[in-house]
Amino acid sequence: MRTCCDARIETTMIDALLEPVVRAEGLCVRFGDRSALSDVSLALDAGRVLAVVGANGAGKSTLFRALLGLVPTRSGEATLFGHRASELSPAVRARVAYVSEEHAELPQLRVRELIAFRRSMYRSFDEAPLRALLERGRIAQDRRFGELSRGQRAQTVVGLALAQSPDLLMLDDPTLGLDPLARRTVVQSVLALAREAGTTVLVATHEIADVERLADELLLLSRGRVASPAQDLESFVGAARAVTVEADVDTDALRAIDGVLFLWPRKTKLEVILSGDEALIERAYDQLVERAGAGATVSELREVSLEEVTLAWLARDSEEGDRRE
Amino acid sequence: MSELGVLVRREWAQSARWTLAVTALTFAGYAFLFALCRPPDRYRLLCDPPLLRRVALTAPALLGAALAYRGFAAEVRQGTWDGLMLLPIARSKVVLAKVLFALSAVAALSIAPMYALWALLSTLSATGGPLLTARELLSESLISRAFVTGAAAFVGGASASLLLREAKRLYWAAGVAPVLLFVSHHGERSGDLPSRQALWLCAALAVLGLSHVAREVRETGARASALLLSLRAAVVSPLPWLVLLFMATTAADVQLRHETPGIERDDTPRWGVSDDGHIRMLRHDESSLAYAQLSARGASNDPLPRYWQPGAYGERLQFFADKRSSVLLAFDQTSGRAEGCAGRDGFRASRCAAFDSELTFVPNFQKPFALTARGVHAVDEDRRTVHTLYRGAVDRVGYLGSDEATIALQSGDDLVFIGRAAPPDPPSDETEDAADAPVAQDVEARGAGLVATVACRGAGAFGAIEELSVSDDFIALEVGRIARRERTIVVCRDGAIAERRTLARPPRRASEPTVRDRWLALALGPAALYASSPRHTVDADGEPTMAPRRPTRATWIAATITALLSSLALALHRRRTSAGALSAALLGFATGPAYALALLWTLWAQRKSER
Repeated sequence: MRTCCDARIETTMIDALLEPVVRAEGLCVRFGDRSALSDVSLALDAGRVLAVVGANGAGKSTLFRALLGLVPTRSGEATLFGHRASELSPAVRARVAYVSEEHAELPQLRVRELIAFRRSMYRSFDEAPLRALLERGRIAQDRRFGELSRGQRAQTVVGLALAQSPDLLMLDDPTLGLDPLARRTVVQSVLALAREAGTTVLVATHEIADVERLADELLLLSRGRVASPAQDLESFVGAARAVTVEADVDTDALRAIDGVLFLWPRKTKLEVILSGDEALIERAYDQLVERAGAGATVSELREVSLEEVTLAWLARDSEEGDRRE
Repeated sequence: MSELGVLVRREWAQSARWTLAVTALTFAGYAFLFALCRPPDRYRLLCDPPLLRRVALTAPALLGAALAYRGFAAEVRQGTWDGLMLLPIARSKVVLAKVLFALSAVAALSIAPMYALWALLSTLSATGGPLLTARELLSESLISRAFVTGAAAFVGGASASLLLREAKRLYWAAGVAPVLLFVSHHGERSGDLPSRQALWLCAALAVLGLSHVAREVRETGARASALLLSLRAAVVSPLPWLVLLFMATTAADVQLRHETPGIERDDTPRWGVSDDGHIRMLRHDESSLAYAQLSARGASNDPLPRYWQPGAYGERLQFFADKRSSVLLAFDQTSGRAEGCAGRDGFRASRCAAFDSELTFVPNFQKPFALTARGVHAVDEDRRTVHTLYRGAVDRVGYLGSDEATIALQSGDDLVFIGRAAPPDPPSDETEDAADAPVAQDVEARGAGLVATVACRGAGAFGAIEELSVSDDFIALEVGRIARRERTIVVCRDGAIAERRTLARPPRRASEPTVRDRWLALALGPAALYASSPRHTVDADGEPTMAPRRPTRATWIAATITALLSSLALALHRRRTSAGALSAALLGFATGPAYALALLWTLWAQRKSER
């Protein structure tokens, strides 16, 4: 006899074979005269974890809401499990759990009432991960949601989302306002779901450490545009190197070198982040040495951290944005 | 169905506090009215009362608007709306649950306090209880109108909130128009200033929400904030105002019911009738016009849809005109106990036959007469009979207050008096006879010693008779045409016009707004709009947000239109005006149309920008 779980795994596999769980092509969202998203595309396969990183106001929340069909798009198309986002049926919505940035639930309701409400709505409701989070956060079920601290609210809503046993989990800054211990708990719970149940996860965050722990892929957003398309973390970090220049040099000349991603001034030194394939990075390094001049000290190429390369991408995009405006 | 139940329970959890607060306020309002009324007047409250309407219609309107705010705007503000839209059930169920809950709450609020009052009155032996069964109360009282008002407020507010979701749906504004028309229609029919304002407020609420949402969506995309601020400004801020306004105007109104309308004291000479019966420029205290106010259905500005009106005070009984069945209902003046019904077929203990046409209403009328558009009937309390005094078209009816000429009628172009027949005059010589000649001729005499006489032929040809004074040898009249702002002073002798003078523009009446009132209105309009208008700016993260004190162009346009419309409304508004009523009139008359125009402008601008 085929069980509910078997059916779910089968569905997930078919989805995986057919097309990505989440797909967006050329998404544009405008609020009045302001562009919130511009030509954003992405594809996320089943069972993968994609982290969306960007500054405040970069459009992460809008991207999530556009993917769920909660904001109208000017152009482009978004699909979840192959269904258009603007026309998601109840059956498809049952496979999606979403935690908004505001950690929104009715403040008047008690935690136990929230659980009862979700349980009556979702047939595959599993309280185990929720209970674990509530216990860890010492959250009593008879307390009203509005009386909880910010961290406790975050743990509650993430727990409720996990308890839905979703196929797609969308978390918009789930660890915002959490202490380090609670953050780790939440991340581990999400990770466990992703690994054990093969849940696809889309998470927006500012925490690079969380990205490293959670994500398989990374998408950088800046001012509503894709600063760096979604790619594996390893290749993203592996395609970047750093070099330190000790001299008074013409930064514009260095910035113009093909392969130079960003320059970080550090007191008397200049840290240069290079990005590209190996040949491009070597060529860029040679040009950098040449332009720095004979009196300059240029260090050897070294590997960079995820945080360094992420910040370099975002900073470069921000500079370019300023120049465009 | 269980999903629906769960959703309704959620609605209750969300809006319980508001619902209970409005319910408490409503019961407090009913208690206030009950305490304010004299014991014999209390049982009147249930039967289409002007006073009760202020609570019975305003409270559901407030609750409807509040539930729309909690159910839609607050959900968006808290961010829980997205969660609702992602639930694995049909979205129509979510909306259905909200509508079901709101309508149930509004229905309960419309019915419960009314039945509580009914039950209270029924148990009080002093009043004998209302002459209504529980079923009649449901159909004959304000309950149905209260429910519709609350439902309209909810639908209006909810529609405004739903527009939030997509800019495209701004054009749903057209769908709200019928609701507004419906509400305004009810407002017109209610015929009572404060309740009309309440209904206009209800209408303005929906338009206010729409226009702000439209404008903010277009300009900033700050949807939740715009909706929050606009609805909060529209719903919450007028609440204390409404409570204070209700208490002040109700208390004043109850007091006014027992007062004779004051005569304007002004020493500026005006045209009037002197003591010797000639038209001259006179100061107020020199004029012989007695200001006996005439009023009747035909000349009233208000259609007065009330079912029961205080009809007349007899020796022992108080009569109410039941306008639906065109009979007089008699109650004991001291106990309030129902004594019977007076109709075409006489005075009966229970049911009686209706008069030939609808009964008219005469304020402060002190005699037991049944006045219809086709004649006048006298009720004899002691013999329990009804006499027909006069048959003919009755355009306006007035009460003079003397034994000889009790009622003055305007019948076509003639002025007719009905009164008790004078004792036969003693024989006298020719000269004295000429000097003391009766001023009118008897045309008909009917039972109980009452006669109907034509007092002045052709006096009504110059408009509706508004004021008159009866002297020994002449009758002075003031006849006016309100539409033309024109009045005529007429002096009648021997049943015909002896002198007349038409004045182009009447002096300002005490009931008209003063120049100061008009300036106050002009100042209040923009100030109210300025205070309630959301302003937008951008925060440090580049997200659109709201900040105080930065009005937009649309605000100023709306404020200007408001000022113009409020001055126009006040110019046309000839009732007694106080600062409180002025504020209500301002909100009601001006805010709605002004915001409607602002909305149209916004939509037009949006369409233009989309092209």
